[in-house]
Amino acid sequence: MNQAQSRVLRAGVLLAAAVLSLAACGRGGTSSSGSQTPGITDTTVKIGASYALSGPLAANGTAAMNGAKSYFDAINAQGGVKMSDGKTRKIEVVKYDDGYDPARAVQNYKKLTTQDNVFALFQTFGTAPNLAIMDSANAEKVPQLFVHSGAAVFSQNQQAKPYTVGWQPTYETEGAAYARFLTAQDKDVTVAVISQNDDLGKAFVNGFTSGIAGSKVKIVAQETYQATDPTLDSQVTKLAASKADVLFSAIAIPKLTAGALSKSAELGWNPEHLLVSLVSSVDQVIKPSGLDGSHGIYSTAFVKAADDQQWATDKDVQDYIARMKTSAPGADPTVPNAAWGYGAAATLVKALQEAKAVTRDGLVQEVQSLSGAVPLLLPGLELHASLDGPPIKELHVQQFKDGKWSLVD
Amino acid sequence: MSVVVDEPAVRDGGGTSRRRHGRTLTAVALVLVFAVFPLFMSPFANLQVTLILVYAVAILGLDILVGWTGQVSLGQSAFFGIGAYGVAAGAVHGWPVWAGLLLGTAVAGVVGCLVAIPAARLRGYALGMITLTLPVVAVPLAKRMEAVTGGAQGLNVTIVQAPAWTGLAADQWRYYVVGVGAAIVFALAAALRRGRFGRAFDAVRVNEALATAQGVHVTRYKVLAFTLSAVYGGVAGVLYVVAVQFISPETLILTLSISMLAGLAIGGLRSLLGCVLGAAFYVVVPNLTGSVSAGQSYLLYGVCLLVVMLLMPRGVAPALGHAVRRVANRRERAAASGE
Repeated sequence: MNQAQSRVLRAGVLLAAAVLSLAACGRGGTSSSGSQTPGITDTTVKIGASYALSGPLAANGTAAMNGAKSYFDAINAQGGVKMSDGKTRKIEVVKYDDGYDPARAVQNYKKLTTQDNVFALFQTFGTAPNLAIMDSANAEKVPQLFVHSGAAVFSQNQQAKPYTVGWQPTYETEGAAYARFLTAQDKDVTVAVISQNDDLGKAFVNGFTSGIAGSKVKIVAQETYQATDPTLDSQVTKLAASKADVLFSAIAIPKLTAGALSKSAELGWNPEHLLVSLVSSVDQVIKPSGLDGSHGIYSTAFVKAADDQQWATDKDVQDYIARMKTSAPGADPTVPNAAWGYGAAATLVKALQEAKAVTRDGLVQEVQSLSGAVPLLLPGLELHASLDGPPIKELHVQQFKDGKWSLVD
Repeated sequence: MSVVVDEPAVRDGGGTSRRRHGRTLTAVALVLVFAVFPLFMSPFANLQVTLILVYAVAILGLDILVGWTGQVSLGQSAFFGIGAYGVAAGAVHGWPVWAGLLLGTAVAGVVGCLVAIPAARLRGYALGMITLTLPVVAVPLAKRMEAVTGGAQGLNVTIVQAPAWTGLAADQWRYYVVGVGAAIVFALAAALRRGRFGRAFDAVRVNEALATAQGVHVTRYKVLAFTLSAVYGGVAGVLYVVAVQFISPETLILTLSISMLAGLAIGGLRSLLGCVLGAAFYVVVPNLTGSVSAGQSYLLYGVCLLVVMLLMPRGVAPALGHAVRRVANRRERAAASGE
């Protein structure tokens, strides 16, 4: 061993020893987990969000973000949220793009909780990104509130995962709403079902099936499709042979739904149509299908649509449209995600106002017992928190008539 | 050897002793910085470095195929998915991580080999099109095989927890585990590149006819490159689940394959450092641009990508190497004239 090498070796050994002694000290005090009041000052409360602002779901993610922003801006313009300790705080939202990539959502979660030190996560977008975060959030006791997904997994077991909760009705609930609508008519009805062959389609069908159990409504034919299928012609043709009274379309893709509607008419079948709310757009689905609704087209809703004339003089809807115009000029207030974002933001503000302790646990406790009205919910709908579901548990059935949707129950 | 290689595979042994010591010192310093890093940095920084290493392994796999052997592949995300689902599904059924690692990488290797047998007869765009089908098939398959993959919702796992005696947080422990895993597969690749296989891959890339004339079985080496590349993709998938603790079909989309290919181009072909730099670009730049403007993060990422490719068309690592060599040469010349 020559001199230079032994010098390098000696330096290495010294450094290694230094490292080991430093390792014994560890990383102290940089993590916020365990603290109950990160992100809270006397004048602000810091909230973190991760949305899909790029990629295929960017339009929905951006709409959700804009809807929430327009409500928070309005509250901040009024001074902020008055909390139980008597202090009024402005809401500061730190948001990042995850492109609907779970790995980036996890990075955003770490950034929000350990660098930005937010008080709570709010409205993280989509099923997969939220699932990727859920276990960490619960282990680290970070509230993950009102996630932007209808999957039941976020709300059904709050005993085990108290820090995570959804907001909108689950897909099962929506399936059950159609079942309730049909069974209420109390006559023999035959139903054909077409559903996407994944968790989403299954959730709709499960909700529907358990809702009709023991009633006069019977499923007589069932088909599934893949999200990548170019058309649903063969499935609809098979279902048409059943001559069922009703076609329940648990289809998540607007273009395929439009095709299924027009194919059923082309075959001279003309059943009543039940469309899940994901694909109830007049412009994207019903107009392209060529159907006029004379044989009955139904869907569900839980918020007031900004383009529905019956709400033109409604204070909630007017406020919402005006606030969207101020906070997100150019954004479309008729996109459902924007209205959901706005309603979820209002729910968070309500929970912050009513929480008895200004701590993470205090907020979670309040979220688990929320009740009452929030803006934009349809008449008759309110928050009803429980440990086995999201705070909104009902939807209303609406019928497509004269070129627009109107409530029927 | 009459095979023309645009870059010598073997560069060690050259240079003055001063330069060699400099290199040893740099390596020791790098390893130390790497070892100390997670003890002082935030969990977010640790996760970023961990993910850089994860993607670096996948990009290295792609480099074996694209850089070393001169083939094209858009299928790396599928092998990444096989590895990830292997370890995640294993963990759900209570298997230890090493069993999931073996299963995931073995299946990835077998699938890679099977795809390679017909694909090795194709070249250029045709090969690209064939490999393109892999991610296209992988996503619906992952959704359909619900019993194994958890369907569209994916699999949540809790694996690789820090043992109590270390006193480390989960993010720190996972950083070390992924770091050691990546170091092992990088060392293997470096050894492979220096040896007989590396030379044979070079021969296949540069001139297939000439390689055949010299006794290199071209098809066999192409299949081998495909298989190795798939195994590396599988290992990266396993490490991904260690880092993220979650896998779902959204992760396997074609975009990931394309991003890996872009990462390889950014970092530079046939360079271990390039694989790490390409992965770092893929992980860090969107986070930086996202801090500038959340809404335009990917637009700005695209702009950065274009700028780097325009300024450094052969990639960052070759450009860096060139700069370092120039400085070192100048210093040596100055030292020589001074003595």
